[in-house]
Amino acid sequence: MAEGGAGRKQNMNLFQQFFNMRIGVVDLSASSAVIVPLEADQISSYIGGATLNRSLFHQYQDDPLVFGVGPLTGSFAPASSLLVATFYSPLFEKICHVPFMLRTGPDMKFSGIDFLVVKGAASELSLLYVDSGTVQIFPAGNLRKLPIPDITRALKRDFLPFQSAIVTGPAADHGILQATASVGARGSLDKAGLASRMAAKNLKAILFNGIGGLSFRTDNPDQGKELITRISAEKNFSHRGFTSILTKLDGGKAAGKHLRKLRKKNMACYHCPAQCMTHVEFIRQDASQGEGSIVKGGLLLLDHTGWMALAKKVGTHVLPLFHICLQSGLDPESVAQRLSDGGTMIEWLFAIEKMFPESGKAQIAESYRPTGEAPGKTHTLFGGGIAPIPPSDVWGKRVALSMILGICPLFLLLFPQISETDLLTFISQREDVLKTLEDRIPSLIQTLLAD
Amino acid sequence: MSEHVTMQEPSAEQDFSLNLDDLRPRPVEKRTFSGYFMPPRHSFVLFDPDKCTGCGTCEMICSTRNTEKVAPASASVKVVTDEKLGKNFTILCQHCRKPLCLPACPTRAIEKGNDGIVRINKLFCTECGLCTMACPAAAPLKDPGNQEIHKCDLCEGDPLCVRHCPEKALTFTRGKAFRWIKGLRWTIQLVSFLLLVIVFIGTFCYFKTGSVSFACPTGTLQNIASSGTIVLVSASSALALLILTILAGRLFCGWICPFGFVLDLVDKITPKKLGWPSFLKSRMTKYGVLAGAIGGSYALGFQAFCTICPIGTLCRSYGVQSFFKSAELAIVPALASLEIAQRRSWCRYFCPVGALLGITATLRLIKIVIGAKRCKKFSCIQCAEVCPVGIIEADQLREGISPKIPMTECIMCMRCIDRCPYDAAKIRFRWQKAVPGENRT
Amino acid sequence: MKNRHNKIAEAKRFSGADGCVECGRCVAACPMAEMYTNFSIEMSPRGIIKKTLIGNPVVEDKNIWYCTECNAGTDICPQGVSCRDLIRKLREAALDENLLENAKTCKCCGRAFVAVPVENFVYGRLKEEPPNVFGVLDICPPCRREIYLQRNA
Repeated sequence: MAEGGAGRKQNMNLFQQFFNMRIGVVDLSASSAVIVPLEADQISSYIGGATLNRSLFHQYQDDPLVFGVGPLTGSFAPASSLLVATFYSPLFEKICHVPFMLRTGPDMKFSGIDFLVVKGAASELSLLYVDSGTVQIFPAGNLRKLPIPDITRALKRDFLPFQSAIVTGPAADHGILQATASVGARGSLDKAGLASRMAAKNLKAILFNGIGGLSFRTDNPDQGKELITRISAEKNFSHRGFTSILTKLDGGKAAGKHLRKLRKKNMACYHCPAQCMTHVEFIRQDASQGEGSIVKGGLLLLDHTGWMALAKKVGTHVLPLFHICLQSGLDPESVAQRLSDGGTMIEWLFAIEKMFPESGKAQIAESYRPTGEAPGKTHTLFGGGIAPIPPSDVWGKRVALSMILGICPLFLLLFPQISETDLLTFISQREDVLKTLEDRIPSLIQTLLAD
Repeated sequence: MSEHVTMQEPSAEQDFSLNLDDLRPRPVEKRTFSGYFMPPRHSFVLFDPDKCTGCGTCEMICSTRNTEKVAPASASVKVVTDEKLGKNFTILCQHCRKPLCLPACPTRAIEKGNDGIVRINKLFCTECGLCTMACPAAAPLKDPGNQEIHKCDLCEGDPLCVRHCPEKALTFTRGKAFRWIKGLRWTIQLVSFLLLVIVFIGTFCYFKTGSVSFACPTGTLQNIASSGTIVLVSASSALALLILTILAGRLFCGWICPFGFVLDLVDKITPKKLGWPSFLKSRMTKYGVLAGAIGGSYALGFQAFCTICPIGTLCRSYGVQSFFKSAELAIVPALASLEIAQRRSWCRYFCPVGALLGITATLRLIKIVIGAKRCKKFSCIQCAEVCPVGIIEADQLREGISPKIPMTECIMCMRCIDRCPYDAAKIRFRWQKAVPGENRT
Repeated sequence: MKNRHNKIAEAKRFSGADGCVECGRCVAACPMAEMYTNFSIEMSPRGIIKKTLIGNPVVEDKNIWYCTECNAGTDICPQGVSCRDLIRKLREAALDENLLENAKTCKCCGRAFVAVPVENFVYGRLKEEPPNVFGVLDICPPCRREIYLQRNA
């Protein structure tokens, strides 16, 4: 970026196209929510996303939860749906950056906030409502211990309008460490225990009402389409759905077989041409509604590693057990480790039920944690949920790049032919800006991966 | 609290008020000559929900046209998702043939242009939102920021959403162009008229003239009832027509019957229909006429109905070598004039030949289906308007339900299939359960 | 009654009704003049503001239910008075007191989404259309979109 007064103004104009320049700082202990301006220096130094989250995490000590977006979130870049949650994971015992896709990133940005810092702990169960550049704290006691679909239904019916929500399930209310945060009722890639951290702060949900907008590069709206056309013309563009991603993973093909006979519909996140999620319809018996009664349901599958871990353990019963994990806000991988090999469905259901005691501490011992697969350390750094799509030698760097810029990590992993420059041209096509960014990014990636 | 004070209406001796009709008169709808025969085909955006993945790119791009920013909440289209059923749909203005938002706007800000696009004139729009209230799909959207009403205007001919949809779920099309069934049908009707009425006189009837005979099944039944004998040649040629009906429904009624041809011609010159009183409108009447014809033949000993049958009269009396019996001549125009009340009312309510073919059609091999999911529902309904026997339930199409078409009533003219621009009306075998637009796994 | 008094005071404050100079520009811009043959000062934005300011019982007044909440009056007001906000707050006060006969609730979600006189106007304008389309007018626009989705996807 150009230095000096005029250069700074130019930079500011550029930043304002991509950011609202607002940080929301919430202190739950004091029940206060203030807006702090985002400084241009912060963007120049950290660009955005996970790296800027990390600097805020160290700035506001006292173990905050930091949610943030990258510069490209919501823009014309394909798969620009990312919201990054940075926090200290009690499971992996280090700082983690967890991606949230679907529409959470754009909805947060269009709600007027680029970064949200949550400190302290509330005295009663609360939720945060982000709308038009402000953050409000509301009580949420009526949502305690409800299954996640009931939470979203109650919020839609009785609360203010919202576009996306990050909620915790009843597992978090019971204090289970492996509780995961879910986007609406659809789940997420969080295996680092964000929900348990939110529960420790007495935070039930964060709602975004994204009705605003930013200009990004409206002078070149076809840029995203051109990139998509370019990559779809190539041979490896055949990604259609959850099972196609599974086939790229070790042992994923067998896990995908359980979905064969079901009615499926592929879904994609914000502005993404490569659908990696599938909605399936299923029928299962629900003993709670009477002997032999059939329940028809549907769920969205987006957690590839969780599905594989659970499928390996329980075989054909994976779908209803996965559904239960989604409804309770539990990480399927941890649950898979808790279940016994070669048991029956009834035994497994009973084991899961035992994880939610009526009183006393939760039964899942802290030693049950996702072991993580290759590539090991970086896998848990990014929450343990991003699928280990090969090639694994660049996995860490690609994911780190995506987390800084605000693009879905799975998209960048699926399309290695998309270069860093391709993405940076969505910010600006000026030579000097590109050069500055390209010089800055490698050191940022290194800082990120060094944790 | 102060006392209740009544408001005084300013007294008005003279009425200076202008109303909206003076300032913005409603344009008179003109029907052009060419528009009568070939209704205009306008372009529109067609949405295929099976391909949609709910990515929201259409919303994002559309908003760049309404505002200078990317703000999906300010778009003219809305992506609705049902998390439980896993379905996505993009709600956008369908540019209906008869838009409901148009009469609802209090300031007449909405107009349907000559290019078929329904536009909101921002100069007159007060953003009251009554257009959204009137639209069955609630397509005009209120911007939550500046409260403007955003409605799709097809980007004046080059829609952005169509260009950017990664799955090609949105297409910009004018619909099917060439209506070939219409030309084929009129040709065959004309040829059949010429052959049956002018050239080979009286061939379609029991009365045999010349060497060619094509016996009417109703006439055959009456003959059997009145004379008690079965003549194999006529019975087998009547059977030919019944076999045609088993294969293709009441194709005879729509394509071959010369009286049907006369009725279609009368229909063309009497576009304004007067309508029947409802107690006369029972489709079972024709079965009663059929029963009466057979019973009467049995009782009277000669073919009772054949003497007054308009098809028979037409075939026998109007040809080149026929003898013009004046009484018989009157039957055809008299019964053809029923057309003024409702299209093909003879075929719907009175014709015993049609009744017998209808009974045979219960064994039909094929059926016509209309897939409501592919069709444009309340914004189109051309099939229901164009059906001459009125068996397509427009109400069901508006609700989005695929109507069940009774093939015993359908005369297989295939006007619906010809007219539907979206390939929603199709012919299927009777055992095929799937309708166009629905995937059954 | 005390609660109502507070609500009316809040409504006046929120909409800036005290700034009204009775110029009548809001009435000139108001689409109600085109909608209702009995359009009078009683239901005009200026009239409602006046009635509120002089203390007439507006919460029970049927005339606050004719407005379409389009905000044209606010846009044109030289003093920045928001007639829409005032009428909206008065309607909310009426709903809180269970005076529900002028508010139409959605058959699906139960929320009050339109005023009955406004809906009758739309009914009247659509009366040339076949009756089935009226079923749709009992449902609020967001629920209508959901139903359209369920039927057609």
